[in-house]
Amino acid sequence: METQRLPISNGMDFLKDLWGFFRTRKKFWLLPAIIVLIVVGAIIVFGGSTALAPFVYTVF
Amino acid sequence: MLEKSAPPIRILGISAYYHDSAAVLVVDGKAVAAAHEERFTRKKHDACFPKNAVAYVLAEYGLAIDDLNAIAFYDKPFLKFERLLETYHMLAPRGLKSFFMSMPVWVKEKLFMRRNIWKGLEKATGGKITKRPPLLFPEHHLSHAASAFYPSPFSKAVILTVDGVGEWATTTICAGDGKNISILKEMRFPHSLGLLYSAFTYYCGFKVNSGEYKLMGLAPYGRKGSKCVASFKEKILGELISLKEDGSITLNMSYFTFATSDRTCDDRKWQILFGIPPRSAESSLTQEHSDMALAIQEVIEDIMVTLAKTAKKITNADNLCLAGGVALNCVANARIRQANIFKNVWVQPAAGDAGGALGAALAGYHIWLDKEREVRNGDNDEMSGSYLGPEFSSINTERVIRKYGASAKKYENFENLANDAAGFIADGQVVGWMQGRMEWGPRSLGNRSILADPRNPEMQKKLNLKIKQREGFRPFAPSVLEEDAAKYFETDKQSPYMLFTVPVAKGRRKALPPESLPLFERLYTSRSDIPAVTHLDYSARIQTVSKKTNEKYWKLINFFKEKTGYGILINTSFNVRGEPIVCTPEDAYRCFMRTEMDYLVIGNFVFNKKNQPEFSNEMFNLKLNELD
Repeated sequence: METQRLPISNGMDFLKDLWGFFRTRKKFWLLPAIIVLIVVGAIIVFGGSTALAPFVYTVF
Repeated sequence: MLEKSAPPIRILGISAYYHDSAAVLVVDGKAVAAAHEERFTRKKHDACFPKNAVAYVLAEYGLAIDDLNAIAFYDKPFLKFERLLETYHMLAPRGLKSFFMSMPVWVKEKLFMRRNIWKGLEKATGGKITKRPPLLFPEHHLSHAASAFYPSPFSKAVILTVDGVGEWATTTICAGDGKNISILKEMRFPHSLGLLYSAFTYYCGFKVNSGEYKLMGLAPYGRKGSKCVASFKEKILGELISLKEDGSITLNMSYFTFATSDRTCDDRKWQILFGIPPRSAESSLTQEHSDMALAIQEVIEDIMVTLAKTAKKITNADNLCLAGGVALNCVANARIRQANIFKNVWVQPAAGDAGGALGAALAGYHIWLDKEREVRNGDNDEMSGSYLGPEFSSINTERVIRKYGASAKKYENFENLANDAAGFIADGQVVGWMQGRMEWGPRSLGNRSILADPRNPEMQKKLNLKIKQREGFRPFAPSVLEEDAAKYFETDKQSPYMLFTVPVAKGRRKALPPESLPLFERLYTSRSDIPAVTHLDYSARIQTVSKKTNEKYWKLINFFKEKTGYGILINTSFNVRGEPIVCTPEDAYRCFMRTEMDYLVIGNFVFNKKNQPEFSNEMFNLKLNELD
């Protein structure tokens, strides 16, 4: 019988962990910094380096 | 009808992504298999996901991921990330470069630890995970505390964990009682004994995270009680740190840069303070750097003793358990033992971050699953002598013989083999010795060891330069029959894991050379009738060998005793500088062939160097190791 592979953890795991972190640590002032880092990280990871270009043009 | 027993509870512990990755399998609260990833990848202090170590520990019990009750990772990545962000925020704009260097790794990888772990586990097991056990993340220092307390022979103890940094904590005092561990006191980043010692490691020309034990080995070359050492100590205690009565410290961060860069300290300010420049790696050692090593060593020892006294004051415990990287400082451990604060002191043999994998798994068993703990072995711990790694059959050795056209004599009887090997050592030969399961922790304990005669005054030089290919100043440790330890050393206690130094017995000592002599002339002056294992301050980092724990090794030493009257050998790890300790018979044969070792024993095979084919780097596909 073929075994079914489970998908590698998804974004929900990360969001759950992030929510758990804020709930216990209550350091909400870190939230903007983390969001910015994650968004930039996501652009780099999922879009590749060229995807950064439109954002850079918009900013400058 | 037979009563059906409860199925065993299996927990996999993992440490990774910083340094010294490792994996441990805990079954019903006992470590049954454990290994460092570096032993498989042959990359010292390898920090990558320990897929080989995971594959090994699961294979040792024929398990798949689906068979596990839980998987425990040794720290909390989000809490570590919080510490990084807060530190950068607090010290901004300093550390901007370091921030931009470290953040990509975090936002791409480390924050998604669950994903990384599952990916790593799929690689380790060939991609067949059908059921995901819960993934646990105990705190870094809880993992250390658990690794120190649960395998110890005590039902109650106070636990002291001291290292560089975990999430926020750098030192903790915890109470261990049965299955419970509670944190009583902690010291927080950036104030850290481990990072303080690392800063001196760097300044004296050694690599951070690997050269700390070299600094400890260098300290006895310092001039004890001299003005220079006193002045260094005064500057450390007056300028670099502020020491409180309870042993906690505050670092003067204007002298340290580890929070905002990949360097540990401000060279310019240190040079002004101490009056000596940082020693560059591999340059010759100076007396001043040795004095500096002694100064920081004495400061660390004093602080460790004070912390132990505080732990005693808070808990009034009889027993102390130690873990964390600083607990590998066997001289400081010995000072704690000598201070007679506690009846018993026990140190986790893998006290560094690798040991966190064991602690995480044990915390999962006793804290998360709430399983009772019983001390089962009386005075003995639950570490099985720390022989928890892979073992290889004679088939593997035969393959190596065929592959390299090697020549070896096969023995049918172990007694004959051990008797012959003891004879080689007594004749001044150096023997590589590989038997049974590989050691867990940074020390070779007689299953992956290079052995030699400690009576030979030339042996330290020969081993350091011709065999280990390492710095000439470094001392060697002895393995001594447990029952004979008091004949050679001032001790009545066991030291099975080489985690305590003891003084050589007074009757065996010879006069020390004058301190005015150059460093290496002092080194090569005989200091006792076992000179190769007597350090410059008459100390030795001993391993007491018990027949019960490692019968083969005990027998070998006993044969040596029958031939020479000495139940003691030099035991150094089976590797060359920059290389992890050997794991497989092939690793052992390669290491044997590239050094001037005379004999190699693997299981029941003995290799004589004179009978081996000519050696070349190409033949073994060897690259030069990066020096550590």
